[in-house]
Amino acid sequence: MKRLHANHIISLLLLVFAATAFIMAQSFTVSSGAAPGPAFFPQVLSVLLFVLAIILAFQTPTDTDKRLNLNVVFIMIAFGVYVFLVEPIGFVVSTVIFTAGYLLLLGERRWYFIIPAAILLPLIVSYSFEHLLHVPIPHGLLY
Amino acid sequence: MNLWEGFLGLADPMILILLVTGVLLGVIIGSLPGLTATMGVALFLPVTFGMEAIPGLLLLIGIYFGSIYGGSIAAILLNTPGTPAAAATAMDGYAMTKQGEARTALNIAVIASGFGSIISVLMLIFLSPQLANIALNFSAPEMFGLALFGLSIISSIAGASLVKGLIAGVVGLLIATIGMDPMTSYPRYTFDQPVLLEGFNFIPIMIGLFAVSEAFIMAEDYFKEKGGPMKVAARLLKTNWRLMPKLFPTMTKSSFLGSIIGIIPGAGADVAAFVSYNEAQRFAKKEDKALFGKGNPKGIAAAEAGNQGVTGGAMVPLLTLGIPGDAVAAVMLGAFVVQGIQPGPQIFQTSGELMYTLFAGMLVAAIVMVIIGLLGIRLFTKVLLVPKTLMITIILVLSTIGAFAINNNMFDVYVILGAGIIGYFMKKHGFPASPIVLALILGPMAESEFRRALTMSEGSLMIFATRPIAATLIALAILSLFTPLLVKFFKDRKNRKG
Amino acid sequence: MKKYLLGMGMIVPLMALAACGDDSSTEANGEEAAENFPEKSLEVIVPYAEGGGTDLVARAFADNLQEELGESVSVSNREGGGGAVGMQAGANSSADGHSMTLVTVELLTLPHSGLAELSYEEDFKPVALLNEDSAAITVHADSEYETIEDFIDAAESGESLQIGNSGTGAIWHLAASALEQEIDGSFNHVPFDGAAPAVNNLLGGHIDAVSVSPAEVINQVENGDLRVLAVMADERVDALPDVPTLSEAGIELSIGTWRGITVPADTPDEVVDVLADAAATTAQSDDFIERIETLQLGYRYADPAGFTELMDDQDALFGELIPSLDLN
Repeated sequence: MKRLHANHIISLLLLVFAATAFIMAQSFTVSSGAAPGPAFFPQVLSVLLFVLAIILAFQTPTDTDKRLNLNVVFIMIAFGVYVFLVEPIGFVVSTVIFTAGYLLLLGERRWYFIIPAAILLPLIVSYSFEHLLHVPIPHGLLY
Repeated sequence: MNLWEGFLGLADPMILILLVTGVLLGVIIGSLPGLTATMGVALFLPVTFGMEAIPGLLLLIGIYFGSIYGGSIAAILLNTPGTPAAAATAMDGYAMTKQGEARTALNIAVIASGFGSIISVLMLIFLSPQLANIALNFSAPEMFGLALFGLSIISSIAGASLVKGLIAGVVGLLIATIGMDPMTSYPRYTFDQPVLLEGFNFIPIMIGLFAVSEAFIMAEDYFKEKGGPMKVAARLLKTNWRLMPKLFPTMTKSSFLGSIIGIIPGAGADVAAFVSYNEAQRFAKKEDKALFGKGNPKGIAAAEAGNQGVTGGAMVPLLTLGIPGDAVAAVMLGAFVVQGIQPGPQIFQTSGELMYTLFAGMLVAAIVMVIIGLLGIRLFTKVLLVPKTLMITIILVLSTIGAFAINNNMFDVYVILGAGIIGYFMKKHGFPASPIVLALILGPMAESEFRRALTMSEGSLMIFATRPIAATLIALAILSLFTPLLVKFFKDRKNRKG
Repeated sequence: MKKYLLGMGMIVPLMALAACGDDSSTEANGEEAAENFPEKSLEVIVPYAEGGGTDLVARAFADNLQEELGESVSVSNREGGGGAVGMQAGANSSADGHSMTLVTVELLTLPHSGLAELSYEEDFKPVALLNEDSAAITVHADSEYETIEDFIDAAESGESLQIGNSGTGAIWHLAASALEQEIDGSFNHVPFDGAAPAVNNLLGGHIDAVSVSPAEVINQVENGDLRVLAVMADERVDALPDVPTLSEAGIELSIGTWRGITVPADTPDEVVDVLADAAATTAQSDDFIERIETLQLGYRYADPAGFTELMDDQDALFGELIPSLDLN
């Protein structure tokens, strides 16, 4: 057998996903007259996905840069932390911290660039959303 | 003659100011991720309560036109479609930006948008009563045909790998089944979580797959190159005006197509953009066809004329039947009712003068939109000069707040995070994102219309064969789905032999 | 960073203390709270989107209440779960009278359908009923059914009649199902995504009838395209004076949607009384009535007692009807 490659792993994940979706759909029992019920579409789609996943396993993967850049992982984690802080802390304060932190994380070191950006971005966004567009934003504990 | 009197009714500087304000607001709303045309019009509806009918309605019309067009700007410049209707524009628009053709792409988008709205408003003015019958002829089997036809586009926007495109599409269709079943209200795959009952809203998923994952990719490129401003800004070519005449046939065709789709209740600007895109690609010549998705100006022209064509089309059933053609039209219905105007067949007798002033105002709104768009391009392209580090941060902040604004809840924000990470890995492994978005838009429509049709026929599949519009659409869908497959099959066989 | 964490550590117990203090004081000092009410701006939570019928009712009420109380009244839309998300948020909002919720008939139907864990008795106190719309059985103007009797006879003779509604489990589906149980026949229920596409299908002649609110068909009725056979109300509806009620045809059935203002159940009674008085004046003002009528909605005011009675009656009806429909 050939060496395990990305398509094998993705295919395996999709097979599990499709099988789970199919099995779960079996409990969708509710009468809907002569027409197909709520389980019909999910099951047809799971079977289709199952077949496509098998085809994928036999295809040679495209040549992309597979190595996961550790910096990108940090970038994702930092964004995740921000997303979970917006509601408890409030949009404006969390965005000040996020903007400054992200610019630093991305390698920006000029303080005269970071500080105005970290202050202006949240203020402009929150002002225009709330007052110009009448869209509410979360203010949380600290604004 | 009546229309001329309508223009005279607009001779008030205040109305022009409101139109310009509306279009500007619309462009801003449309270009921000998460803020859609429907939301923009709904947000400003209460503002119009205190206004006279014409100024109030035209402010909303300006927002409607502006926001559908505005979606294309961020789609072209940053691969972050501001509205679902602009997801089709991003495919060729961003490719052109990467080739240094951002100015040309933006000019095409605004001219095609202007084309779309003017043609559709003219159709609204002169053909409404005749066109209203289209809306009446569309019942569940026809709607299923249309949804299937839209879905068949997946095979042509799949990109490099057909299997990966189809997988993305089917996964999207499966995600679309999460939540309360549209026909029986049975909760599917909800794990007893109330937040999942409504299912996943496709807008945060789209923001995640396009905008957030694009920000991650930009960050990765940045770490590799340590470049200053965005690379594309280095060579921002002049607008290629000589291209425009060649695009007129595509724009005209897409504008008509968009108008018709707008008339059909339940199908909006997003569906129109993808269908027009697919039709432009299907009828393109061989070499031209291969360029779709790689920066073909026709792709932008088709998508933008198509989605803007919906604006006038959606007003046809609203004004002639009193039935809103899409979500924006539903909010507009509220605006009419609050002003004491009852849309319906008698609207031209009861408020004829007002209608012609409104129509004239819609034409002016389209022209205002084109002027603002053309003048604004110099400003829009400045976005490309923003340092990459800041641009990445801005995209993520706007995506977060935009996702929150959709329903005023944090769940949609967590969705953009998840979809952003998944979208990043999809791009790394050659899975296209647009089939997922297309599937999320059309999947629920295809499923519920299919089952509704069978409820109406009490289980007989013949309902799809005996109704001519439905049968034609389904046949076209099958043709459109399998043509690329067959073409590829024969090509592969030829290559193997050769 | 350390300092910040310390700060957070301090804030949490402080907030807990503050919350406890609040609780005990509201119980004891309801009278005092009522005297000072309103102390700050008020809010109406709407469980549906901006621009919809429910939203427009809320805004008409908020605008008028603002003038009555002299404090600003804002409207905040919390959509989702067919109304469950917003009503849940309303039930959990602060119980000081400043936070109101516009509830609809779904407050009763969602729990019986197992789609929300809400209770109209335990989660809310009624303040004022603002609107009621009864189901209208509507057919195409060219339809062979001239009267509701024709229609019922056809169903009882075994004809398969297709009745469009705005979604399975939605109030208009329940209305048609309730009628079905009263007669000796059955309907083929066709659910649509909202009332507008159902009406469109009726206009196009793809289905036989719809059961929706009068506002959703009145234009087409006035234009002569559609015909309302009957309304499911105790008395004839103002907007359709020539249309008989079901009870005139011998079927005692009154079902439809309604909208009303409530506050969380823990709100002190004294505060509710003050608010209910203000709401009564507001809801019976000419301006409010005119705005409801412009929206073509059915105007009906009821005080807290009348509102409770309506909910008690309807809860009993749905408690029997919904389980018998095999929805989930």
